[in-house]
Amino acid sequence: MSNKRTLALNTVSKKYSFGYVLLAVVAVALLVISFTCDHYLLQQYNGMTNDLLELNNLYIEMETANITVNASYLFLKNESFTEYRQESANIGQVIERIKTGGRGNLASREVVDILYTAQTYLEQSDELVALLQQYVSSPQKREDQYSRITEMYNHVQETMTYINLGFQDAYSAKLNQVRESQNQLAALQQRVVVSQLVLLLLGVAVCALYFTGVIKGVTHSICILTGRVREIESDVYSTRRIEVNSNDEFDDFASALNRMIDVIQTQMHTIRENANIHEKLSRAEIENLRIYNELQKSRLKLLQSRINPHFLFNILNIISSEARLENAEKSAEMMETTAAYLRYNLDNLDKKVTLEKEIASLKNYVDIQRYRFEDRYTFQFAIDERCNTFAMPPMILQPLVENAIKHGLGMVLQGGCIWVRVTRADRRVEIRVEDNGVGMEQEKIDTLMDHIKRLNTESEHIGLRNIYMRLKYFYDDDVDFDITRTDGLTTVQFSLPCKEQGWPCIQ
Amino acid sequence: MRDSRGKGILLRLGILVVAAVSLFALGYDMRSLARLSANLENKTRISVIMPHRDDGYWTYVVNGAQDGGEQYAAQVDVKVYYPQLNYNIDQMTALIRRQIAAKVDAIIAQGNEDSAYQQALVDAWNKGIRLVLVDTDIADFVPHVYIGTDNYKAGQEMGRQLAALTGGKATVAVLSGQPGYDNLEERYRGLIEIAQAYPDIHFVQLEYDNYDSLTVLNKVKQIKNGNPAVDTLVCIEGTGGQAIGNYDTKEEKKFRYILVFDNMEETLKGLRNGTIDGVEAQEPHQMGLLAVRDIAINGVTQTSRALYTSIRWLTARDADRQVQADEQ
Repeated sequence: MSNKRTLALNTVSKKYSFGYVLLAVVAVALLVISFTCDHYLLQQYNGMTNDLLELNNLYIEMETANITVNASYLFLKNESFTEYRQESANIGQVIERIKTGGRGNLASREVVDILYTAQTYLEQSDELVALLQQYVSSPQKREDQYSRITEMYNHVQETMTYINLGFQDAYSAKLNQVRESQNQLAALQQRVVVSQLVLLLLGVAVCALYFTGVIKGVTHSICILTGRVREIESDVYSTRRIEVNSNDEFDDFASALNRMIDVIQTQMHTIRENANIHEKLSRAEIENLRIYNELQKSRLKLLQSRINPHFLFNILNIISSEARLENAEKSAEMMETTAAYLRYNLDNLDKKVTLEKEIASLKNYVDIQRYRFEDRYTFQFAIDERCNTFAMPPMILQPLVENAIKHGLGMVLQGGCIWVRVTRADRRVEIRVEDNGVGMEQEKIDTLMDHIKRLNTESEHIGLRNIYMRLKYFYDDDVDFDITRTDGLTTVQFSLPCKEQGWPCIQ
Repeated sequence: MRDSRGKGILLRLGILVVAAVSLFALGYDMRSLARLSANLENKTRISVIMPHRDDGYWTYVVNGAQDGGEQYAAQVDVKVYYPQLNYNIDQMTALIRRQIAAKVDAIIAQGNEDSAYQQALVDAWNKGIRLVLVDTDIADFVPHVYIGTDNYKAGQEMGRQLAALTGGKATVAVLSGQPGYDNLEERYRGLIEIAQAYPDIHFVQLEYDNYDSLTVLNKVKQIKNGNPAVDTLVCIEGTGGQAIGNYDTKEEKKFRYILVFDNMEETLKGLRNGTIDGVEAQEPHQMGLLAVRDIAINGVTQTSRALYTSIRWLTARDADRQVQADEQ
């Protein structure tokens, strides 16, 4: 495993080193091919030369042997017989050498024919010399021996003639063969040179391609890294990974860069989330301030609408006492009711009250309105007693009833009625003020609702808007408010949260 | 990315292929050179001894033998010998004796009635050399193979064509090669035998052209001048038709009818231009080819056998076809 890792081309340095090794291998291969080809060509040339030399050697030996045969025949000398034996042996050696030596000679039909003819010659000349020796040593010197010797000598010389003819043919054929071989070798030499050039060019091309590949790989890796870094510069949240796939240090570098970018992006994300949270908090704070401001304004308006209530309350008590003294009971009651209503207002301006108290105050107000309008309107209360302890801001219901009288029943001369209903359903208290007055068209209702609920808008419906804002402030925005017109009844209703424990309920 | 990788693979493959081809070509060159050095020692050495270094019939025989040599190159090696002088029996005999001295395995030669020539062939056979006679057979001879035309039948066919052409009425002179050649003698016998059936066909003269064109032209002139009644010339040896076809034109035609042997280029030329009226074509190429093939395939012949090659009768119409076929 470790060996594999060591051998793997996983560094730029190793890649370059491999290129140099490749270059060396190509050079060595070319050298080997050149050497082999040159050696082969030289061998062929040497072979051809040796073949010719051997052939010539045979010719010389044959000529020499034939001289000794002639000498033996003509002069019958023992030395000639011995010399012939020697030459005969030499010819035998040369023939053997040619047979076992270069294959070039044996490939030539003319040479092979000469070899066999030479053997025939040796057979005949051996016999001739033997006959001569026999004849010399024989005391009779018979006629038939002489005839046989002469015949044999003629055969030998005839064969020698064939040998000479054969050598002519063989030299001619060999020279032709040499010429042909030379042409072929020359052509081969040219092709060797061309092949070597082709292989050299291929080797150079392979090395050049390899090095170009390595350099391109390095440049490509750097380009990828640079491009990615630029991309990150322009868009730090880009999620594209850097993939170099170069199988070297650039891969490690890319991995490190990817990790670094991950860290940066994580940190940037955290910072962004914090900023978002901060922004949301700031907005909420601003909204709170604005609501608070609105509340202060409404308070101010409320205070302004109650100029010196204590003074009025005292005056009303004095007037009530005087009215009783004068037996003006109805006026006294009116004064007392008005005083009670004012006292409620005065005492609970900054407090939360129970629904029961709010209803009681409303009833005072309603009594006052009864004095004013006598039997023109009727007021109906349907209060769920379970809601008596329900905590709420003061002066919520009175403005609603006042609006119903003012805008709903204002034009109604007889039969006008206002219903005040308080119900409890599933942890919510619903307060509804209904009237059977002239009511409003749905479009107007929608506009009114929009003005009331849009906090930043200065509205002419200050009363309702005030109530809505105060309730929202009091109940942490958990207020459902709606105005509807159904079956001749105009209903203003609030749905408020009612918890078993906690501030909305006052025990 | 994938495209560039694909190109890279193609480029590497291309380099590998070129390198392999270069190395293969180099190796092939060296091997083909080495093939020149094939050992002949284990091959059957065949010597073809031709009587005549011509430009026609015997050249076709030699070509056939050499084609056979190439066809059976693994088994045989063929070498051709010619005498210095055409049809010189002494030189041909010496060539046979030279082959005996060289201990060749087989001799392909023409048969001849010359006793020294035949003795040389017998000596060769006694030394274990296989004999194949082409064109001309030798009767009652040592075991051998004869490959060539059935010359007697060829002569008969010539007689039939002569009768057909002349309408059974002609005064005929015959031009042969040399005396003592069985093939020519048999052709002549076949010719005469058929002609005997036609009383108005008269053979008035027999001449020998010595297998050379000069003698042919000279003999033709002599026949014409010596015997003006001769209206038909029959050449039962190839050189006659070759010389007449080459040098005569229709206008110079000396006889009414000229019938010849062997379809050589010059003969066909004469046939086309109307100088020659008909040619009896042998298959010399087939003779040479079959001779070598027989040696390559069959073992030593213990009994004589004869393989007859076919003959064809050609007219001017056939000559054009023959030329076209040769050109193809």
